[in-house]
Amino acid sequence: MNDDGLEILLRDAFRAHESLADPGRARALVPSSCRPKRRWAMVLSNAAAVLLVVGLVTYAVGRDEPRDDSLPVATPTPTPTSDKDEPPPTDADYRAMAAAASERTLAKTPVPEGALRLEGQPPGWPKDYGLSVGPSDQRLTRTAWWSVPMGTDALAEFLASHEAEGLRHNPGEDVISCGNDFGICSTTYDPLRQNHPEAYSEPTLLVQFTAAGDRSLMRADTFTFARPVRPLGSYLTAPVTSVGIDRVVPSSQGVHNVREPHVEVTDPDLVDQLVEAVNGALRPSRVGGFLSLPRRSVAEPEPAVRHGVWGSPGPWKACLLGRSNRHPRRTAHRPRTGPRRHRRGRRTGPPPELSPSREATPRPGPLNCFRIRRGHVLVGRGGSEERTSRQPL
Amino acid sequence: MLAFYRSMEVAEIPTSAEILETAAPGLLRLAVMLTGSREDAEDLLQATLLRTHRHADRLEVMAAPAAYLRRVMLNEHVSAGRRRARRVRTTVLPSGVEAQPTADDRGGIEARDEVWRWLATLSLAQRSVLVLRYYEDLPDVEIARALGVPSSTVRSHAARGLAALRAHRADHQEVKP
Repeated sequence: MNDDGLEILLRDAFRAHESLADPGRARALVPSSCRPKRRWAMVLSNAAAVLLVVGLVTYAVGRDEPRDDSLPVATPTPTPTSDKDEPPPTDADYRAMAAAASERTLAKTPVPEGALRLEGQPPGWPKDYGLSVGPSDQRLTRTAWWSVPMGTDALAEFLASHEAEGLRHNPGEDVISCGNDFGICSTTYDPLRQNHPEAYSEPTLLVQFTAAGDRSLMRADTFTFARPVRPLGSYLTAPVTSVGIDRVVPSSQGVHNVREPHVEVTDPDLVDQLVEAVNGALRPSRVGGFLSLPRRSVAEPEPAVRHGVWGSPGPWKACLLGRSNRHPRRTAHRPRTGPRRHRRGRRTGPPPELSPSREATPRPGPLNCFRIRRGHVLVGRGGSEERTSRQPL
Repeated sequence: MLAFYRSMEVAEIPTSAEILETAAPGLLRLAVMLTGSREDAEDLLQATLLRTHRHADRLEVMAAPAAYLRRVMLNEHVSAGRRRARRVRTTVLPSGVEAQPTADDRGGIEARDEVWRWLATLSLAQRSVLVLRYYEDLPDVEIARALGVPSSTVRSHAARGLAALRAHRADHQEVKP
């Protein structure tokens, strides 16, 4: 393996373990004595000063004007209320919903007759063996164990022929997958639909089993994650004219360094699909597939959007550009027009020409930027790359 | 009146608490990469925050408080590593992997976990260099500044680290048919 391959492996290893760092826990560790201080005093003094000035002005004006007792006394207008005065959902609500869904999904595990539910991990199951499916929050994973009165072949046959309610085997791979170092077989059940896509990803069920004498040990895990509450301002309403996509490398300081290549998509159909994907994070999107990026080679004449981010190292950031009546964000994407210097000093060429109309297209402002992590699913043009959108943007 | 009120507003300079709260999640991620475990990472973050807290007011006037905090964490990490015996945890934890992993993807997960375990065998300095270079994506000059070593040492650590990883991968693939 060459250095590039090793670098990719290292980056993948680091990124795959980012989930160990809980941001909430990190904030909780900040010493409480260091919380914002004395700001209340500033606010109070400002408010007092304003009240004083308002009072003085009111007094001065009212003193000079003749009093008219015939005027009706103004009554305070009640705050308009609506039937929909429910408090807005919180991240905690979404987490609770995801946890409940995780438990419901676990309860749907197909279990052969005569199986004995175990309290916890039984002896005979490798201690250091772990497997996860899809992006998930470990704290929302629910696990159950069984001792099943049948061999692994029979259990594999049972699982392959039984589907849980609302779930199905992934048609894209072998129903039962075996052959790792630990002698454990597994199968996954994917949700048929997203019931509350705004709140959480409907859990995937992973069932694993291994031989234990003339019986089998079976383990079921659910994998899900809760979404953060999404502000209304993150929806795209204005027309989007193009999409600029950068590969970005996150750092612990919250700065996302932009790395080559930069790609711009102007194909109206693709742009429309991207917009739908962005807005559709709150609802099941009809768009399937994943966002593919063109090769860097300018030698390819057609504006092919074929080669996906799938398998490419590093997350990506896409900025949807258009004309908006909103103020552009400060983290505005600035389209590049010429050669740019690589941050380590290597000069790279100009961005690839993706669309003949690119040069003629006026440069609009950014409407929304979002990160596309490796493997995150957006839109594509189908074919062999059909996948289902199931990742947060 | 509005103009008068505006003139009274205090410029929004983040307080040290706000700076720390903003930086804490990123610092915890860095700590995870440096230590390899959640528990050690939280210990390291706590030590970093406590050390910073003594002079927290300085953060408010710093041009790059994040870089300062990172350097404090690196110093704490090295100091703590000298003080206590190193522990190696080999728990395999769920990874942020792609949706619907295929057999190849699962191989990738195993490789990542294997690399993660291998990182625990490195010296603190070597691991720090690899983390700063391939996770933080810092140039060698900044890594050298953060660790307080010459750039040549950084390059040397990185080259030896990659060579060791290459050898480890080769060994692992020989053992594993």
